[in-house]
Amino acid sequence: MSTSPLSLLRSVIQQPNQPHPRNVKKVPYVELYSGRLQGVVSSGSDIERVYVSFIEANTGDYYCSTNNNRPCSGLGWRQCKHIEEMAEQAIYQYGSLEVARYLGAKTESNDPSWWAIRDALNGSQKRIPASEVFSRFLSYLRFLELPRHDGPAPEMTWFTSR
Amino acid sequence: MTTAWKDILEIPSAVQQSQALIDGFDRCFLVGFGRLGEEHLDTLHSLGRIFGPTPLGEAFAHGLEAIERSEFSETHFQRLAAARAALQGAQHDALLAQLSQTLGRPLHPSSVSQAEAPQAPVGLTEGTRQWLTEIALAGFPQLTRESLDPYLNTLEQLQQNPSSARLALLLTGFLEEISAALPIATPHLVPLRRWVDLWTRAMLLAIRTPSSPTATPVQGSFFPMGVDIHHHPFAVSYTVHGLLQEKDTPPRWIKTTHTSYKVDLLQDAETWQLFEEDPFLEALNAGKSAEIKQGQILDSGDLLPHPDVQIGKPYDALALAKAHLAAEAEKPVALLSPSPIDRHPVQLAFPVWLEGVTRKEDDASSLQLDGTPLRLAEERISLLSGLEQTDLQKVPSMIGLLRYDQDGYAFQPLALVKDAKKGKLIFAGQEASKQAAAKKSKVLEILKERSTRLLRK
Repeated sequence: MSTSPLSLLRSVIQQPNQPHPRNVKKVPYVELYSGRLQGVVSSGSDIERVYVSFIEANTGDYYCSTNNNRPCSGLGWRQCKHIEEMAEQAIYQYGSLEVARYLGAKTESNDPSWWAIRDALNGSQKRIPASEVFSRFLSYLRFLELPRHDGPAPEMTWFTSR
Repeated sequence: MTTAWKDILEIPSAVQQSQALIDGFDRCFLVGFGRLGEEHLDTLHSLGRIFGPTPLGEAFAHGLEAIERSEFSETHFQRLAAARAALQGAQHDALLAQLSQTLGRPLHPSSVSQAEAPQAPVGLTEGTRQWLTEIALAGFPQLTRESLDPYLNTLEQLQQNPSSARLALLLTGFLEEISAALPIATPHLVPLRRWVDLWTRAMLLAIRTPSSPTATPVQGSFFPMGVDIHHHPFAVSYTVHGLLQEKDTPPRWIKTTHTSYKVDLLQDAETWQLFEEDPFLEALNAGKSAEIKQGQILDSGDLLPHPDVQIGKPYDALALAKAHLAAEAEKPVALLSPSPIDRHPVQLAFPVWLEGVTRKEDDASSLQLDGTPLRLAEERISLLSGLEQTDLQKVPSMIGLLRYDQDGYAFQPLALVKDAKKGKLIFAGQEASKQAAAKKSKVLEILKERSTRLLRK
């Protein structure tokens, strides 16, 4: 039987590094979640509009629409620039190996480009409602609106991520 | 009389003995309570025997019988959590008693306020206990996305409810941590002690929000000694520690804490902008005392928020540390003990002054105190503290907190003496008040703008 590293036996452990800060203005939200790389991309022309983009792991199927479910006009037989922007920021945040691993893209490189990952996946358009991803983004934003807690918070003693 | 560090840092045998019991209990969380084997049940029975005929012992035995009959009601799991917490509470007390004795520090008993704490809506806490029970039944390695997602809605409501703030902050971090570990490929990579700690803690807080310790009025000079900073991806908390000098009483070690939710991208100095201006952080930055004109302090040593405070005069932190925090201090600082429900080895934060510290040549994190090793608690040092790795590896004199974890004592620095002759100290969190006032936030500003545009629709 293999044993755990000593540090894993402690109550307080060194947490892995947090994500690398991405360009939030361009891509306010991105995550590897529920078998998808998904995120929210700001429109380049309309400040009131955001696009919701995703790529499914393993199949490589993708889609992009506004938060009101209007399909992105840049989508055709290939992926639009929003998906590309989202993927670039995801690579910046998580590292390209992690993105490739999560999406199940088999590439030779130790630092695959987005093009290499995309070509290894080779999917097609698949519509999902934008609301699924968009509500994840709204929950994320809600953290900034939650009430502060003044006074003892002994439970936080367990947490010291870097 | 001074006691050698070797004796001060010796772990009481009772603590070591209960460790084995806790380990056995925790292993049930690997297979899951729905599939316990003989050896797990034996461990649980021996745990039950310790509590014997006490009310907890009877409830525990009853719960255990039910689990053996495959009756998995959440009330039984409340008892399991209470038993584990009681063992750790006893560990905490034994450690604190030994430290206060060997270091000659007076220990103030603490009492709990009669006033009932505001409670979270019953539906939310019930839902939480139910979910925690399901986690325990499955066992950590068997968790999947499907075990977490159904609970998110309840958690979101808990986060919005001030009376469940502590529970929600804990569960937000815990869920995020499990989530990041999925899929759990190898059971031996589960941080078992930690996760069962968090599970136990959540279960206790989901039974009821504990009453706070008794509060009394306070007036005096507060000398900040550094900031202890905690964070998980979605919350950050800071505690200013320091000495309180009141008229005609020995100095006390007290603290004040503020916590805010955040997003994972906020992790550098910008994080401080989540908080309001804080006179204690300002005082620390200015190297001046904070004069508390009127405030309330809990028996646990926690100063209640928003006391009436003015920035005072410069103070000599080095002299204060030597006089009140050294192992041989003539006027040792009085310690306050946490509320009974908060007693856990992790919460031990015993202030000490160390000097003449050397390092092992091949391991700079192994501090040597007259030949007695003491581990540097690197896992507790936040990047937001501003303490530099190079200083941590060589500075011989430090103010900090003695901490305890599974593998013994460790030291968490709050202040490093950069230049002993000039009395120059670098405090953890010293720049916080400046960084909070910088107001050139990028991440926060953009996300808040997105939030006002999109959330209101």
